[in-house]
Amino acid sequence: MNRPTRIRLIAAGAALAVLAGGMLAAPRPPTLSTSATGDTTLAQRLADKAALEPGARDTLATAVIDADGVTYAGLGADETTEFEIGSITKTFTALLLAQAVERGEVTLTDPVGNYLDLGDSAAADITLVELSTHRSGLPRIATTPSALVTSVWSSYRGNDPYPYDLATLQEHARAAGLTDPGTVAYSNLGVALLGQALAAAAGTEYPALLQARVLDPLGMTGTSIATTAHALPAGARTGYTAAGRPAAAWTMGAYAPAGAIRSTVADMARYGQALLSADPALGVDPAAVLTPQGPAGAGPLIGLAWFTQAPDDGTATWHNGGTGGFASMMALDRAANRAVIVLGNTATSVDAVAMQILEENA
Amino acid sequence: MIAWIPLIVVVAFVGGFAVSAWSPRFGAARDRLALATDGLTAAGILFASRVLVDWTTATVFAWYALVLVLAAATVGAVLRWRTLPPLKDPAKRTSRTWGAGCGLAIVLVLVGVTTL
Repeated sequence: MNRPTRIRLIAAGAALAVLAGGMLAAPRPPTLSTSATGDTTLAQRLADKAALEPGARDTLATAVIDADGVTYAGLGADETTEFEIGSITKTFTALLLAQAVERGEVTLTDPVGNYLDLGDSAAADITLVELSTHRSGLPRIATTPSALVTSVWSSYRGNDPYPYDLATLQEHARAAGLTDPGTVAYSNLGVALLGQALAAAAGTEYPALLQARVLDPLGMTGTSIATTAHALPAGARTGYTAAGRPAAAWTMGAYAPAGAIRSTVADMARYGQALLSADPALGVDPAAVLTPQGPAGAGPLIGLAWFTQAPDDGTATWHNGGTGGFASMMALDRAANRAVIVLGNTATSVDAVAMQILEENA
Repeated sequence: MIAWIPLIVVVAFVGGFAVSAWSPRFGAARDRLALATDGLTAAGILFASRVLVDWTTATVFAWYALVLVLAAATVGAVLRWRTLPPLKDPAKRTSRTWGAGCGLAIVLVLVGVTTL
């Protein structure tokens, strides 16, 4: 074989190797499942609305609650499929706060420093109601250098950005500055402190408190909370980032009260029905958490964790959630006694999907 | 716009290798060390881009286009290899080798970090 021929063969072989490697290593973002479950009409509406917000989709599940009961639908998932519900967890923490007030364990105006080791920091004087209504002035996340590095790295890797124990959470709170206390500024740090304070007031751990006072009474047997990766059951479901990359499960350690619950649309529908019907199993009148509190003014109307749309925008009371690999939205029309839950296993928002289904059912 | 920056960076490195391998004059590799460095850097950056770029169903075709460009550049590099000296200026052997080594080490770390 002469030299030019040999070199051409080497070049062709190298190119083929690059092509083969490129095909094998190609990113494979998920696409929305076409396998419909439950009510076919609702499943079609879910599929039609999935493209309302840009980003990867894989599976979706929804429940619509109205006077006729609950209607389920899913794409690649059904009413028993588990999802991380992210920040909708905050509404459970708010419910625990209302229950604790009802039981006389705490008052809304108790300083969180009464229950947690926050020393003489500014955070110690924040009241429990300020934590639940995001009026504490605390930052959204911890602002210590190591926490910021962890947050950036985790968001890049799709990992849990809150791998902290209670001592570290308290360090974060002690180190935090307060910005414009009294105005609404969403804070995961604040709700994490609230959940831990409630657990301390009850003399237990947050997961046990949640289980005993909310999940068991409501019969939410498909709902769980694990605060460490080791506590997750083997094969626990994980999702994808909005860009379609695999994301790790979020368990959130001491930050769990702000977003670590895993649930199903069946259980979330049970929760929604309880909120709409003032089910005694809630332990309190749900108006205590749903009805906006504090000065209305500019900015969102907010109850204990629950947001209510400004009158010009609609009448829904809602909370959404997002983790590294999941997105969630729960919206209630309290006047019409309707609710919609949408859960997805990608971080692509499902807010618009849920809101449109709620409005179309009006 | 920010979401597109990683993809633009990958296009720049892979495109740069294609120019290095195929261009008759402007941007062409001066020697084998430059050609090898350009090629390995482009391959490493492209591999790392699997987790650095937002590959959705709308953009994943760009991956296949970049793989095609890299394959074409590889052909050009193999054909050009024999015509190039190992080093254009042997007097700069040490500095060039160190520079190339450091560059490749950075790419290697990037690949390692993104595949953890």
